[in-house]
Amino acid sequence: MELWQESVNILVLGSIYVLIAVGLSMIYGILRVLHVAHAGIYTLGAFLSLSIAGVTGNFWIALTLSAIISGFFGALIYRYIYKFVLKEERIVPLIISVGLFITMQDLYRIIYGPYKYPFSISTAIPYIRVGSFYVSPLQMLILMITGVILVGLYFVLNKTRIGVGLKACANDLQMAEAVGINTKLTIALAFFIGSALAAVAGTLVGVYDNSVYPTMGSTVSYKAFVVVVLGGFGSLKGSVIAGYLLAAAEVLLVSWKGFFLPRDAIGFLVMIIFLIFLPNGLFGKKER
Amino acid sequence: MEENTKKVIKVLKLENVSISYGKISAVRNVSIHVEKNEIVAIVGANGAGKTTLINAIMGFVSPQKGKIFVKGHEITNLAPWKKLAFGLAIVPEGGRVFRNLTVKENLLLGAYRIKDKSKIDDKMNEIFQMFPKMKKRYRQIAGTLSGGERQMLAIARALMSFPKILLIDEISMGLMPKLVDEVLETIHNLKSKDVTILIAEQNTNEVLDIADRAYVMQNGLIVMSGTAEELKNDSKIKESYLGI
Repeated sequence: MELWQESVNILVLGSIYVLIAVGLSMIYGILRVLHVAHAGIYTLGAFLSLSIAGVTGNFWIALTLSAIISGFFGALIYRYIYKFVLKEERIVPLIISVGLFITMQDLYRIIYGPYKYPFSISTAIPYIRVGSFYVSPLQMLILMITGVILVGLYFVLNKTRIGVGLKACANDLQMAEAVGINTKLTIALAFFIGSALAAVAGTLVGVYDNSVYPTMGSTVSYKAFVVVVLGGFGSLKGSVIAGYLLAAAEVLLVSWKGFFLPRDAIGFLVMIIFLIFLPNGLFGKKER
Repeated sequence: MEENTKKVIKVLKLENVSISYGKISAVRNVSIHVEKNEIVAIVGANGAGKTTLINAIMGFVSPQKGKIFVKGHEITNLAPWKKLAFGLAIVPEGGRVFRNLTVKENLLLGAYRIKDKSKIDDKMNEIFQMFPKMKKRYRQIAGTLSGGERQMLAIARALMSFPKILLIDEISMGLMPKLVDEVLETIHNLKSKDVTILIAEQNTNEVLDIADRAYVMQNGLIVMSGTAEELKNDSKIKESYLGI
């Protein structure tokens, strides 16, 4: 029974990792830019949801609006920042991204102060309990939202023109343009989708932990990076599988009594091992 | 027939086009034109500026000077994806296909701007007749194709967009001599399908066999032009520029 219980925890934690990493992976796949500021959007999403929920009193409206606004914000970061430095060496957009992330965190601190804000919501989802096995309403909420999003994402990427365009852009940006794809719009769209998902992840974590604070993206920014390395840069399928694998490793190792390292160390150990022995990750293609 | 076409339409026209990368000038003051349903070759040694010129027409690089026209419309600084509306398509150097995608996906991407599904299906069938191998490899990942097959796919992908003007860059690169003839033959046959072709090629002898006219490029300049016949038979040109 305990293993069943752990599997719920793994799925919940993994879902969060996946929601964050998918955007990062999508953006890296197309631009070869490590978008560190993605974690800043995650925090933005949480704060937006918190604020909008405070005004409207409705969690779903807050979540939706927060995702849309954060999506646009992500697209703007591409349009007004990255677009101008893509021809530079890859270290340039990376440094800009780190700077952007720090700036965003400080902005949140200036606006909201260095406090942890509680973010509790009531859902209509019942508490599921079978013997000692249980799924809390918030866990169920995270699983359901992630499920819907992943199915939707799969549909968009595999069955629509947008998906075809994204794939072509990730494969060869210049040729994508040559077959008639508006690549700038497509990339902006990738930023929109990725950022919206990060905002959803930030909101869900804020609600799950019942706290939203300016530096909540710090650990996440590294964690998402671990997931993307594990899955293979640019591979969405890889990111999804790696997100759940990392969650499994964390949950199982931490629950093992003899394990003496903090939880967050696991991801980095795994990443170091991967970078040494399997730098292309589980599903990554060799860099051109 | 001759009467009607006295005023020949210049489908593609470049006026004094200059392109440089930093301080290195790759194309200098080039003016060329291609008439309807012609095959025009740009020949010259490696590094003469042929690829840069083709890339400028497609919009991958912007000329610092000069203008590019398609049927009288200026398209000099349009983004590549907008140039498709003018009937342009490119077969890039080295069989550059979408390597991680299947042959099918590559072909469908070629038709990205075509809305009418029945038109796409018809074109697909036409392409299968032209390149039976593409049908056989339909579900294969393009990166696993042989060099020759990738070139075929690159041509097929360009044709999927119903081009009026096909820009072809170094199609023979890395191909066995037998395959070079085969691919050039395919290109020659496109002439009967109402496609105007500008082809940049190092393989001078072979390309002059299928071209109507040719420009000789050297160090970014057009140093000679004429009909394919003239260029082939001029011994001086052969020696100094073509190295035949």
